Amino acid sequence: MKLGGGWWMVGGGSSLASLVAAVWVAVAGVPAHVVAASARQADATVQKGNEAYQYWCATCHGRGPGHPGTVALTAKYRGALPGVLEERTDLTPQTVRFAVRRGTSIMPFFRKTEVSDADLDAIAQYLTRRAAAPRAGR
Amino acid sequence: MPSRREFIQAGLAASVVPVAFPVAESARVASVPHIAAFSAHRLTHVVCDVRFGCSRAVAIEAARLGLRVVSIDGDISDFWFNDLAPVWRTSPHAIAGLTAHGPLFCLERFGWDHGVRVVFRGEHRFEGGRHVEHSLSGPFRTIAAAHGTLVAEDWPTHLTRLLNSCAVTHDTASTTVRGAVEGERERDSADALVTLFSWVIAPKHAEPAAARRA
Amino acid sequence: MAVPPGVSTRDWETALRQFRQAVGESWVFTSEDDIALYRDAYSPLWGEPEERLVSAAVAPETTEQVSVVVRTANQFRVPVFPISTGKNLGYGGSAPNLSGSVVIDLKRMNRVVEVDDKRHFAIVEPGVAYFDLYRHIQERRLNVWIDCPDPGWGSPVGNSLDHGVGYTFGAYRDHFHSHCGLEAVLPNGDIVRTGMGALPGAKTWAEYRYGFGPTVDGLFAQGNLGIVTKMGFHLLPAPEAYQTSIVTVPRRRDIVPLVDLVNELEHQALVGMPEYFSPLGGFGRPGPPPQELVALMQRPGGPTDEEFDRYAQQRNAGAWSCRLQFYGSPKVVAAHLEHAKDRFAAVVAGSTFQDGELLRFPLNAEQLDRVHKVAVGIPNMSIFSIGARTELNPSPSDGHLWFSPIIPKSGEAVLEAQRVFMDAFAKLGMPSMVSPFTMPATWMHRAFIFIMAFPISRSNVAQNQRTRAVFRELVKVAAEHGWGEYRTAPVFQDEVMAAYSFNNHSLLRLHEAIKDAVDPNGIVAAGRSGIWPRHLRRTRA
Repeated sequence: MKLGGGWWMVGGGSSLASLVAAVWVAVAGVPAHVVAASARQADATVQKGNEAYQYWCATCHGRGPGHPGTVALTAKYRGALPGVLEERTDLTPQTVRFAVRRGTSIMPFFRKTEVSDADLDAIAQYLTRRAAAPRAGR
Repeated sequence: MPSRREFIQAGLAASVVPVAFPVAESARVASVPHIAAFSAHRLTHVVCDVRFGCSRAVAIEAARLGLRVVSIDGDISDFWFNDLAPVWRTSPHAIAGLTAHGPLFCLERFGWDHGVRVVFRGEHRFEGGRHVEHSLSGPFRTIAAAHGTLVAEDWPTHLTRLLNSCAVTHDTASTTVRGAVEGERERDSADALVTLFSWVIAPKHAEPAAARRA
Repeated sequence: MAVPPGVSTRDWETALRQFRQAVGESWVFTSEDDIALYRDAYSPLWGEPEERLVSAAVAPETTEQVSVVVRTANQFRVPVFPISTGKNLGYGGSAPNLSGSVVIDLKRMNRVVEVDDKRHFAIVEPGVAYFDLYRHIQERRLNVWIDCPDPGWGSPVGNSLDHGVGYTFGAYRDHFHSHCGLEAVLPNGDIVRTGMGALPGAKTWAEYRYGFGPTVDGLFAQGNLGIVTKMGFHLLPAPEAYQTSIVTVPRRRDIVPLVDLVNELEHQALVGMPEYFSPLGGFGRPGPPPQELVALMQRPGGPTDEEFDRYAQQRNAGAWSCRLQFYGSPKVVAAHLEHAKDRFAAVVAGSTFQDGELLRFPLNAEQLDRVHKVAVGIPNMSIFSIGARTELNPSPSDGHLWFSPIIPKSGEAVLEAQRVFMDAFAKLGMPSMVSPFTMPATWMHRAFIFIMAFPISRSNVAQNQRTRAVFRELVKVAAEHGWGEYRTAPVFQDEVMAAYSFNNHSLLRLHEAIKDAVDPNGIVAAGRSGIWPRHLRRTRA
């Protein structure tokens, strides 16, 4: 399924994954090629999450005027946190899943025929790709 | 700008102001106490006696509310032995109904052994085929909600909704309301001699339904 | 595990097994978490025993799968409720009329079957969102526009089947009216195609509506005779240019010739959707209304027309305005605009025009940011800014509920509606949602919708109960004045249908007769529009 609406490449993700991979190898002695494969898989998931995010979320949470989710979060946080979800570094997969499956305020919840569990995991990965502390593996 | 913006904002402006309920003339209602969270008994079955027109009307409304309806012909035995007893043995749930006295009497006795009690009871006494007197006792919120809703010919429909939203509280109240009887009932002279009973039988310490759904 | 009403546990287990065989294990949802996703997020009954809940959901991918699912449901008398994208927020969302129904979630049926930009039509499945159809058209650079409602995540199929409406030109805004042909699965599992679709090999399914014989399409809109699995739509050929101009009339009574003249222009296809507002209304602007206005409004019996006019003059403002929208080549736009000005000059003394900029398509990024996107057929989500948290609205509601009575397209009708509803709110003892400046929505091509939005809470039951009581009262008040709602949430559909009571509710009786014939087991969308199957029908006196 082709997705439009403008999506940008997650350049920073691959270097973070490589860093994680290096740490993991140093700590756990896992063969490097296995770690590289899982790093690529993490990249692919984040990529998929970006695509799903642009399709399902960006119409409300994108940058610029006319994006009510961003307007709402900007009003809510008043500068304490970015209003644009993609710029957050403090989200966790649990909070992303909670928002999508429970809704909040006038944002309704999304069904599995819309955002599947796999899509939701990928979106969660995408939105937490810049988490403040690097996480070893998943 | 005439857009949805205007309309919604106009609505938002009105959202926090109390509203006076329209009140039926034949009953005055004390103001319903404000309760932030709503807890009601979740009914697994609604029992209706097909011999009585108003009980059949309760069956229809219960079905429209998505509830499971049990139709009896005055005799509760099959329902008790085949459906209810097995369930109540392991996990008693609330049931409700509009029946003659016999079924209520049996279920109340059976229920005693399974930790369930009558938490709402209504007596519906028909007077001369034109009027019915409703004597209700049960949770305060439910009794308060009954005012004004049982005065017209469609009282079985409203009664069903009351049973479905019977509150889980220990405070009780009673009231008597006089209302009209539906046309079908008039013609059914046998009915005119029978007092019918509405009831909710529920576990003594029920889990509020709303908490489960939150 | 939830079991649908009227179905034995054994039958339900068999039905579930057959559903899973038909659509695949992962597309039958029965867990509590999964079925909770089918609640109406804007339910006015949230958390209360009468909230409409489902027992399960089944998500087929093809018409054939829908047919098997429906056949199974019919065999075991399982009540079902179809949804497309499930985004009917404010009118019931994805929840059924009959609690315990099985939702048939058609979101996976998301094929754009065909779009033709020489004969200007599209054929789509129910799971296609406006966003999807728009993207399909843009990617292929097709020369047609869609007409979409505010949020773009809805479905052309689902929206039109609830008589939904949009923003561009003429009858294209009436989404059911602009449909052409449909395919549906009947309660017995039979698949039917209407119009030219009933003639195998016909290429005109989405061109000629009527085929041969009586048209039944209307029975599927706000109806419960079957599940629509494909629909055709007529599309507007993409215009070259777009321009708006705001006409303002000076006096309060000028609303009458204003609406009459705009009707004339609109029904002659010279303008698109008119947007009426009053320069004196002040909605959307921050702060309380001006003191003089408050004082005026408090006069016993309300202000006279002359007092309104004096107030307007003091503020150097007109009484009423209408944004006219013009579509076409620049020459056509200029000619239509000039004609509009000529008509107003001849009929309403003191009327003035304020022209907007002529925009030629395609628009650049800066123009796109400024334009009202839905007016030029671009789906988006900006409407949600209204109810969402903003600086001006720090405590947003959890959702809203629409009250949508149809009134005639006349200035007199608007003034009457203002008076009647302001009185009604006063009698209910609450602040009015209607003011002397409230104008109706003009989405519907040939009628005004005097729409109001009620806030909904997912935590304050008492507020929702009050809202429902007020809503029911307004339905009655509207009916007393010959105004009926065009669309409403399931919780009010019985009352709204009851208002359409001509000749002892003969219309409802006709619907019931058809329902009994086509769906004798009453499994499809029981209760939709107040049409209940026989076994759930109340006896009438």
